[in-house]
Amino acid sequence: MSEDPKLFVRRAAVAKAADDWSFAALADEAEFNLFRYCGNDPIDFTDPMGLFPERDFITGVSDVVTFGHAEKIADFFYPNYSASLDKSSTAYKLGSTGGIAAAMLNGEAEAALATKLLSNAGKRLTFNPTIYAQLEEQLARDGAQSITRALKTAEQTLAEHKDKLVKIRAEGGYTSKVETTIKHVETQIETLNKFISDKTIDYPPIQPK
Amino acid sequence: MIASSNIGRYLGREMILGVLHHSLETVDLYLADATVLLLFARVYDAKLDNHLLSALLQKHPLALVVTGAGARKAFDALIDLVSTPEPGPHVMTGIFDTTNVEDAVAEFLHSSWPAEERFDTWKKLMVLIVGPDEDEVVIRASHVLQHSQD
Repeated sequence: MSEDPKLFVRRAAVAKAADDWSFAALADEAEFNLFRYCGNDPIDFTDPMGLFPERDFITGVSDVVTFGHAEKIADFFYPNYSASLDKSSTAYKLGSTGGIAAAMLNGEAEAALATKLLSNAGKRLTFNPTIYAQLEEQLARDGAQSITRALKTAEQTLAEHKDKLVKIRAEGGYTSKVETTIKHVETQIETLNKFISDKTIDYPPIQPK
Repeated sequence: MIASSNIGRYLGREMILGVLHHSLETVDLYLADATVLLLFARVYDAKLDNHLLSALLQKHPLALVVTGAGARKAFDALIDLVSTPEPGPHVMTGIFDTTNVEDAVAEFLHSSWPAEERFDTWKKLMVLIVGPDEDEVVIRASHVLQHSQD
């Protein structure tokens, strides 16, 4: 196997006693290459502390996050994997703790998202009394056609923005301002529908442009 | 802005009609109390008009709605511009996908509102025409606005 050219410096090797001339972290490793990482096997092992190659740490994280399925999947590909795994090792325990923390953070994020969605859903159900008051003036001044036309326009605006939102999300863009516009247009539509319902306005046909 | 005129009021708010050619003409515009209809009387020129949209957004209008010949491309650019984390109050965005000036202006008067938190600052309805062939468009837009006066 060729030497790994990546510049990973192992902390343990660098921090050895002054009279120890080798760069090896462990006794059975005759190590002279300062830049060698995880026994030159970075695919199967990791070294987050810079102390020693470890696989148990990653499995510990994975087992918590995947409810124990990581080990079973690994067994499928590597039949002796479970047998070689040391669940009492510090690395595995550290990994488990990290996994629990990751799961909790994920849970918090989901809870926050759920709260936000509920809050938005609540807002969508309210109507805007200020727009409602303005619609009364508009109805008196420009007639029912202007109101139904406003509803049609708002529905088209909503569709345009929802279409854009999908594209922005797919491209990983910033969606907050488009989402805010969508929320407001939804409220406008709610207000218009309530207004039309309250005033029992007939839906005059929209003339083609 | 090259030319502008104050054309009465609609539902108690000032109606203003103006003509724009490029972003430099936006310097003196005050839009923080206005909903704005940007009416493209020519095809969208990304090189010029992206700057124009950006300059208008920096004025934090209550709403910025695009319409006319370049509306589709202008709306794409507008959404791209608001899809970056810029600070500032919310600007409602919109598109009236029509080349009929009368329809666009009437739709603007009847169905453009600011976001709720900025509703009380709404004082103006501003129609800004973009393009070299503005004369006929100005006359038509002006006609609709004059007939909509309080």
